[in-house]
This record gives sequence, structure tokens and C-alpha cells, in this order.
Amino acid sequence: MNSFEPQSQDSLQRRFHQDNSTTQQPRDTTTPFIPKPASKNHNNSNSSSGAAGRSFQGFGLNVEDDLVSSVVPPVTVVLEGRSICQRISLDKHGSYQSLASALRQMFVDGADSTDDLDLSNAIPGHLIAYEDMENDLLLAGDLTWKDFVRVAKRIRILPVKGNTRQVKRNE
Amino acid sequence: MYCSDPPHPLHLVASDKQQKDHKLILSWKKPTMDSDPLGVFPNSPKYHPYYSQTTEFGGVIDLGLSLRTIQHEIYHSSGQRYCSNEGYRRKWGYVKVTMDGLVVGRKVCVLDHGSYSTLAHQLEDMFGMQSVSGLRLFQMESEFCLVYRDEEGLWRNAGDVPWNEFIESVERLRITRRNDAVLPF
Repeated sequence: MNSFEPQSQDSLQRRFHQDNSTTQQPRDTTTPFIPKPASKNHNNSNSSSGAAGRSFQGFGLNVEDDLVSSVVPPVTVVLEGRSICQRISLDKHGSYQSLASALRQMFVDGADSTDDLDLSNAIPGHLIAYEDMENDLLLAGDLTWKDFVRVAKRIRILPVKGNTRQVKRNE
Repeated sequence: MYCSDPPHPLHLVASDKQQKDHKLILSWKKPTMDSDPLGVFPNSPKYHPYYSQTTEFGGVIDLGLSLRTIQHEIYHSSGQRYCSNEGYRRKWGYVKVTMDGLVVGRKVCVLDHGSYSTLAHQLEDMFGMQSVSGLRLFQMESEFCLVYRDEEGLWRNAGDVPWNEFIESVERLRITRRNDAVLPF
């Protein structure tokens, strides 16, 4: 009876799921079971998080490039002094200028888009820096855009005055 | 260094696994679910439902295997990405530069230069505004000196070895003040 009980629960739960989607029926072969978890996970991931959904979709398509690109998440943008962060998808921008324009619209009230923008003047009095995979803080703009997208884990916007550090750090 | 990248995909995988475990725990603890089998079972006393239940149990096993496969792929992909990044750094010659007293570092491509003097010019453009008289690296009267970390992790004075040897071993650059350089790192 003890061994029968959990089995019954699992099968009953799955059967309940199948009853909801009446179009599907259980089959003897194992091959048809593969699409089912994919669609099921897709439904779950849609409700929980977009990144997971994209990764599962990539796996379903069996395209390695899609899988790699779908794993890259949007990066967090932190403005020094603000407690609420923003998120930005770097792969949706094609250049530093595009990023500068987006950041300006995020953080500068009444920003006019006709300016000749780059990272140095996107947000007046501030530097656009990023943290890489080794958690080092570096000024954005030295790398090519494509490589910047690959290595930037977080974008940090600092006041220019804040770039000076009183206490020296030992490396 | 290597640990900085895996945590993210592991977090993704962990959240997915945690969700699954959570679901199982809920199904196990709910008393209403416990009463449902008793309610449903009398309605279907036939032998066929019992057989279909056995098949569904097999399906559950397949689900577990599929999920494991997905997790493995995600982890592998992330590892691959990290290796690619490291290869990029060595291949194209970008190294990080930090200056003592500054929070934000820079990146320079040492392969873009043919000598110490052109590198000094670029570093002057990047960091020169931090001092009234500029950096004046490699000059006798300068208060700054350039040190680099080589492939063995040792910090050395830039300029001591020929340029070609320097660009092959440099991993990181640091602009420090002369009096600080005497102190051990």
C-alpha cells in the first residue's frame, strides 16, 4: 500500500493535467512524450520568467546559436545613489551611441534626442562604467561594441567626482 | 575568475529545479490530494485505468531525464561562453588598466602599439587629467610609474624588458605613484 500510494498520486496528478487538455491521449511509445514536456515547460516558463522560456525554446529547436543567445540575460543598470535599478538588453542595441541614447532617456528628465550623444555626455556629470565577469569596474567604450556586449555583466553609472577613491585597494 | 560566470546559469538551473521540488512537495503534503485518489478510484475500477497509470509513471521518469538534459546543455553553453571570453583577451591583446586612487579602470589593446612610448601616450590620454603635470610615464622626474602583472601573476616594472617580451606576458597594467611602488603589493 505504501509503495502504491505515491505512484497513484503522481499518475493521478498527471492524469488531471491531461484531462484539462483533452486533445492529448497517452500513448505506448516513448517518442510522443518528448514534445509534451517542451510545451508544458513553455507554459510554465511563460508565467515564471521569460529567460527560462527562451532557453527552453532554443533547446526545442536544437539550434545551438539560438540556445547561446537565449541564455544571455538583460543586464542591470545601477545609477549611483538610486535604490531602484533598471534593466536593459544590450543585444537589442547595435552601438554605444544607441546605448547612450537609451540611458539618457532612462535617467535624464526632458531629454532631447537631437543631441550629438555619446557615452561621455549621455548623463551630465556621470561616467558610464560596467562590471565584467571578474567583477572589475571599467569605463564603457574602450572595447568594440560586440565585445562589450559579451563581457558586460552590469552597467554602473557613477558621478565623475565619485571616481576618486580615498582608500587604496591591494591587488 | 572561473567561478564568476557559472553562478548565473547555476542560479537559473537551481530556480528551475527548486520549482520542480516545490511542486512535488505541495502534491505530497496536500490532504485534499490524498482524498482525491479514493474519490476517483471507485469511479474507474476497470483494469485499463490501472494500466494507463503505469504508463504515466513511466512518462514521469522520461520527464526527469529530459530536464536533466536541458540543465546539462545550459551549463555547457555557459562554460563555453566563458572560455570564448578568455580566448578573446589573449588573442586580441586587450588588458585592463587601473590607476591607484581611481575607481574605474580602462582597457587598452597592447597589440595596437609598437613600443612603450605609444602606450604611454594612450595612457596619458586616459589618465593624464588626474594630475596637474600629467603622468609623464617612463620619465625620470615623473611621480608615476607603470607596473604590470605577468602571466605568472608577478607584478613587474614596465620598461625593464623589451617591448616584444612585454606584450607576450602582460596580463594587467597598473599606474602607481613612485613612493607607493616601494611598498610590497
